[in-house]
Amino acid sequence: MRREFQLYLAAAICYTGLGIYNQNYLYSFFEGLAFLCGFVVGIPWVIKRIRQRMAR
Amino acid sequence: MSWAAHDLEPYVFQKHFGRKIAFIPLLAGSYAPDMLTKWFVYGIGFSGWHVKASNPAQFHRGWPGVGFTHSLVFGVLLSLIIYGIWKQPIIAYSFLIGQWAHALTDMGDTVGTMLFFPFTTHLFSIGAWAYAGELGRQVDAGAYFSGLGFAWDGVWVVWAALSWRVLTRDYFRREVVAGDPFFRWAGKTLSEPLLLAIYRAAFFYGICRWVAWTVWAHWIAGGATYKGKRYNFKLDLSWGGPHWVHAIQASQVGTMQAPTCNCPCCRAAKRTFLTYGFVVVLVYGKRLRQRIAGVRLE
Repeated sequence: MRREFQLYLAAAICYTGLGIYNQNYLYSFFEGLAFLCGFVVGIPWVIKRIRQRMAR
Repeated sequence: MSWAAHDLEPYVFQKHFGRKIAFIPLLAGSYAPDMLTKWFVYGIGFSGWHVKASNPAQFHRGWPGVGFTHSLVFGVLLSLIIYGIWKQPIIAYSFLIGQWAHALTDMGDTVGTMLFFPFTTHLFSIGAWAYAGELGRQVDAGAYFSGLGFAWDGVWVVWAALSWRVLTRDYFRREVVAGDPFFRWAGKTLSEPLLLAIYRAAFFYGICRWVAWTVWAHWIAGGATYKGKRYNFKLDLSWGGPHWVHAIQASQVGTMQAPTCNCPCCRAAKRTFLTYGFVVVLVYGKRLRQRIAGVRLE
C-alpha cells in the first residue's frame, strides 16, 4: 500500500516536472493516462521481467 | 473554461453517489463537450499545416459553432443514444451528470454556455474569470491561472483531495467495480493494477496539471508572447479578471446577445453566486464546528 502510494507520488512529481518543462505533455487527459499507466504498471512489469531473467 | 475541474468533479460525484453511478461514463460526460472541439480553439499543427478557428470563442461556445456541445439538451440527446446502444440506465445517466457538470462549470467564465440551446442561443455567464482562448494556449493558461479560475479549480483540487478514500483499492473493488459495467468487462482481461491506474488517471492528471500550469505561469515563465504582444501573468483575483488580458464577453459571441444583457440570470449572477457561496461556507463552517465539538466530547 505504502509502496504503491510512493510509486504514484513519484509519477506525479515526474509528470508535473515534465509538464512544466514542456506543456505539450499536459495537452489532454490521454497524455496523463498513458504516462501514469507506463509509470505505475509498465515500468514495474519491465523490472520484474528483467529480475526474473537474471534469476534464471 | 476550466482546466482541472472537469478532471476532478467525477471523483467528488463518485464519493457522494457510490455504486449508484458508473465512473467511466461520468468521466466521458465530463470531457465530452471539449473532446472534439478544444483542439480547434487553440489550433493544431500537422506536417507544416496549422488549423485553428478564426473566432475561437464563437466556435467553442456560440451558434453558429459547436457551442451546442455545452447545452443541457445535448447531454440528454447523447445519453439517449448511449441508452439505445447499451440499454443500461446507469451508463446513460452517469454520462448525463458528467456532461451537465461540464456545461454548468463553464458558465463561470466571461463567455458562458448556451445552456438552453436549441430553445435559446442566450449565453448564460457568471463572468467570474476571463475567457482568453483566442490568445493561444499559453496566454490562455496564464490568464486562467492568474484569475478566479485558478481559485475555482483550487476548490475542486481541495474537494477531490478530501475525497481521497475513493482512490483506495478497497473502495475501487467495493463501489466502483460494482457500479461501473466498464470495469467489470475490462476486469476479465486487464490486471487490477492497470484498472486502478485507469480509474485514478483523471485525478492524477487534474492535480498535476493544476500544479504544473500554476508553477509554469508564476514561477517559470512569468509571461508569454502571442502575435508579437507580451502578456505578463500578474495575479488578479478580481471579478472577471485578470484584467491585463482582453476577455471575450458573451455579448461578443453570436448575434442574439445584447451588449449588456438584461436577463435576470445575467443581472443577478454575481450577487446570486456570492450569496450561494456564503451559504455553503456557513453550512460547512457549522458542520466543522459540530465535528470539532464532537471530538472534544469523546
